[in-house]
Amino acid sequence: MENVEIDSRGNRIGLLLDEKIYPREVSLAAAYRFIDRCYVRLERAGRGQLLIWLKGKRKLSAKALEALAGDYDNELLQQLMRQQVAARTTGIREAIVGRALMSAEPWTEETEPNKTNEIAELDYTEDPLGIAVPWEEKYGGQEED
Amino acid sequence: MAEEKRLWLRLNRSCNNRCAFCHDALGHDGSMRPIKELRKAIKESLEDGGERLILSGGEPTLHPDFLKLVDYAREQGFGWIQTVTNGRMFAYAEFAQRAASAGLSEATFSMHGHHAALHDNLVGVPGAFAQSLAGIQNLLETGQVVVNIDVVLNSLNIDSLPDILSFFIKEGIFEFDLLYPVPFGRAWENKESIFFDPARAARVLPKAIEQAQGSGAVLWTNRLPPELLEGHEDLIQDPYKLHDEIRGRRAELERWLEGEPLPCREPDRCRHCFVSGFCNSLEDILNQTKTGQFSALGLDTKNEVPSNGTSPPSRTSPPQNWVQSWVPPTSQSTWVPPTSQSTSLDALVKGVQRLEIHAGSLEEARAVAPGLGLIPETWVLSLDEAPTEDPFAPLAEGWPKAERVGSQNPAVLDALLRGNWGPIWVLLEADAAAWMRSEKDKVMADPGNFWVQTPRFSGLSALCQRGVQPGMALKPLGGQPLHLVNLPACLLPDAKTHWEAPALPVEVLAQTTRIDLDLFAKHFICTLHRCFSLRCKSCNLRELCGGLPVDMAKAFGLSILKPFSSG
Repeated sequence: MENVEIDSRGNRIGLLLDEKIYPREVSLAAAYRFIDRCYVRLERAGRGQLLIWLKGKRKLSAKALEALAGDYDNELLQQLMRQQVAARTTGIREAIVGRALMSAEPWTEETEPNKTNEIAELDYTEDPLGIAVPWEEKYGGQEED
Repeated sequence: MAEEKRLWLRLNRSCNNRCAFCHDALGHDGSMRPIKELRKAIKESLEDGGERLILSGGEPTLHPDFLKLVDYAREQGFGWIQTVTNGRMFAYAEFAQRAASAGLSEATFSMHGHHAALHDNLVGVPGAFAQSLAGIQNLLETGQVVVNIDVVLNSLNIDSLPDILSFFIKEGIFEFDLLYPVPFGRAWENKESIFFDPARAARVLPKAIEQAQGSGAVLWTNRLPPELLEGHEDLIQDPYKLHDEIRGRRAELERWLEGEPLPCREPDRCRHCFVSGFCNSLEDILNQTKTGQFSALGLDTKNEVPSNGTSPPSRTSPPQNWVQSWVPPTSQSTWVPPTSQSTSLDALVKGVQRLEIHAGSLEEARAVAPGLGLIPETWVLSLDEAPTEDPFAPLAEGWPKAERVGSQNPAVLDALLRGNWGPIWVLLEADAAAWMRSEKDKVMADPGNFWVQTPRFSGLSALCQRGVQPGMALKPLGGQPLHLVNLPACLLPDAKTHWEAPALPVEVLAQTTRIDLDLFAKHFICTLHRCFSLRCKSCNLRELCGGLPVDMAKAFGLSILKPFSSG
């Protein structure tokens, strides 16, 4: 592992990460998973590079330090995948949560819509609000499929 | 009361909403019917006695000539002009005013939420709620148009139903129709978020209904499963509305009878479909027609049907006595077996396990039976007139003895009791129930001799109208092992329950070379259209039980069903 420095005397490892491969939030999320067993330190190592130090809270052997580096790499991959899946499913998750909240939303005076007097004054023959436009014509282009 | 003559006029196949539960979505191609064609339909309907015009779509107000059509229909003489609409166009006050002035009598708004977040999400248009609400207000302000609301119940709004109704009651609406989604189109595409757990609905509906009715609102339901309305069974849709559903799907059903598969038949969909019971029963009969072996047929010697023979029934042909055209009107010795020219029944029926004969007199039954050309495995007989000799004797050569003979007429029941010829079949009309009670001692002496069944067709309606709930009517005979036929065991827990295949009236088969849909629908409504309580799920006999006739549920409530949860 070229990007890993194992410092047995200091009981720590340093990992140099390319932010083009691992966005900063991914590196941070992965590091966060180690705070129960390590002290974590983040340093900027150069343009587009992040250096992460993980120092064992208890004494670690050289082998354990090497395994720690491996665990961190695996965690990085997991966080990267989670981020990609989250990006792909944002719409559906928002829809599910939105629906759940809507069905539970109590009606209050504040949620009553404005009495749309201003609409009433408009000339229906001109249809300035586009009410008479079929849905497909008005919104159809926005359909995903 | 004669049914009001209505013309449902679809103006277009275009809509400005995109409802998540629209079952008509696949039919939307953006087209508008030409005004000439629409005017012609209006005129023809009026000539045919049309009284109510219902303008529908798509969204009818998108039709560029909507106002002109209202005006035309009123001018031509329609007494009541209704539109079924999302109402957004009425947000323009002038449009609403012009519609009222042109003669619009009633506007039925489709509103599915009590706030924008819910309604707009369901109809797929931001701002739709505000526009429709403005439309309601504008039409109400005209003081000339009745405004009411359709709510399509679905998984997203069912919990909010009490709030939805109270919101619109505050807006001045006092008539609501609660619709169950139809599992087609987008409703089926979005089935996961549209169809809901019945138990969940059953918890919300009573509160919503009581609250709305308490505020003076009138409620209707449309296609709502009866089990959701326990405690409010008067709101169960009139079973006869099923005829409208059949009319709406006639082309597909006719093709099914011709041998083409019904494209929508799939168990998951049927589970949510209002007509699935009808289709299941029809499929069962279709399978029987394939082999010609029928589990049960019913022959009523008094029945009149519109026509017979190989040509399709015609609405204009004068009524004929079906029995007389199928069997000899005179003696059996002069009768010649029917040919395919005179009837198709003999070609369809090769055998029948049980034949139910309903005749005025024993003599009438004896005159009819030999001409049937069938030897049933078993047969039962009901009579209007008391027999003077053994009615159990074979009606024709080769026939077995009758399994049971009965009536709903106490005089006939008396004669059968005196004659002591065999098991007595009590068709439980009000008078027959009273007779059972009056003859309590004799019944109790030999309860296994009495077979109790609800009467057919009009008898069932009369039973309901006269408030004769079988369980209550026979309660004084409680503890007696009578035979109860095609009624839930819990109505009379000590009885021996029998579920027999309901007898298919032969005229359903005799009209053409195949099943007559309208007559089958009538048979289904009167005999097979049944329901359960949600509580029945816990009953040990659920799988064996055929349920309660819907008419009876409406008349007496589902609470008469008492599930057996142990034993």
